[in-house]
Amino acid sequence: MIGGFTKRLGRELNDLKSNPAVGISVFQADDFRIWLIDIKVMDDNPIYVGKKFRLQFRFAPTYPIEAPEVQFVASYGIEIPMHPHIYSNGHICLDVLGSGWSPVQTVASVSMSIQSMLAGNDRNERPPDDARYVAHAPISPKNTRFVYHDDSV
Amino acid sequence: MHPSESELHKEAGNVLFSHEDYEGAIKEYTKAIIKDSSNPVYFTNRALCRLRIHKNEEALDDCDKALELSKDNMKANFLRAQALLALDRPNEALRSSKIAYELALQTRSPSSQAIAQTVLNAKKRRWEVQEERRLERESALLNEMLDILESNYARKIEAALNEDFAVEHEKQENKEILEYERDEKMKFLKKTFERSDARYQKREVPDWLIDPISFNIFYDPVMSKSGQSFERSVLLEHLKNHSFDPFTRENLTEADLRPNLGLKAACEQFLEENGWAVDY
Repeated sequence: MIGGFTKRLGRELNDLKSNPAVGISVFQADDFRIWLIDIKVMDDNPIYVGKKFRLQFRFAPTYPIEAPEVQFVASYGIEIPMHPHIYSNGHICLDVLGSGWSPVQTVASVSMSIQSMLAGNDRNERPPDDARYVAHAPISPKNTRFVYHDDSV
Repeated sequence: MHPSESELHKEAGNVLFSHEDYEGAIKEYTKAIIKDSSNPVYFTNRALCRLRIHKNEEALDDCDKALELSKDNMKANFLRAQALLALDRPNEALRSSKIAYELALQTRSPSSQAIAQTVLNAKKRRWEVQEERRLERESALLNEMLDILESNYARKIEAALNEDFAVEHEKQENKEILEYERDEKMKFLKKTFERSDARYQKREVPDWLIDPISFNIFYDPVMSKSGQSFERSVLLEHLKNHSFDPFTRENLTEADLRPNLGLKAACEQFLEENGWAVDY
């Protein structure tokens, strides 16, 4: 890792554990490369009610100067949330994960952005180009140049 | 042009260094120095090897020689600070690391972030030494006060037992009262000292002393146009590939930055009393 960023993830982890936001919890963070964060949508949105979803964060040595790689992952009993900006392979089209990233963002703030993106959604569907995207998607969502869909959804 | 003999030894040393053969690399750099003792790089390279194998005195010696050859040598000052820190001489380490930091900024060296961390580490160590001394003095003072209390009451008890006009059971009763009084006062004294210690143990750094990108306490904060402060070397890392204010996303370049001297002074003062905050 370059310079003094080694401490940052350690401190983020402490904060996430000691002072967690409602509906956001650390499922796994054994090293500073990959973390799994569980999120729940706190209001009674019928699309997500009673469900838990799992976000995977991958950190490059350049984090937080560069954005982490963030996507949903499926697991036993855990599915990829339905959303017009979330592809069925877990990739998320959200500007804060790409061109909208800023180094003052944190794992917690990104998780909360995604949580509120789900909370505000009322369309139980995938992006219109889901089949095509998933068939050709790069392994890392960071290698996708998403055209950000309109922000109204 | 053929490389000189000393350069060939240096190259050989660099190869050994990259294979973590520090003893071998030191031998090569020494040969380079024998051939040409005017090149500070041979000394700083050898100093780095010596640091790696904890030959700190010798590393320090190499840094001093490199500095004799070139006074404004950033690397020599930085390595010197590391050697001094390893030798537990934090005050001198602080001085050298501050010089190195200024030189690194001037030359836009990528080491500036690591040097800023060394400055903070030196401050932390300096605080630790003071803290140890304070604790020693405090416990010595407490013990002395306890002794005084004890001998004071020993005298009072002695006097009570020798009271001419008292009967025996009254003497015993007075003695017990005095002993009780003495024990209560000793307990109270210890508690008072403990309470003052608890004040020192409140270990929280206010958010406004923390760089929002690295989450470290500030050493050299700069302010952007939006009034937000960032650690200089960290923000410069961001501005290498981006040109926006991390908070407002407004256009931002290095020329827009201003040092935040008030915040710098506040951090310095905070660290004077809370050196632990470096590892917070």
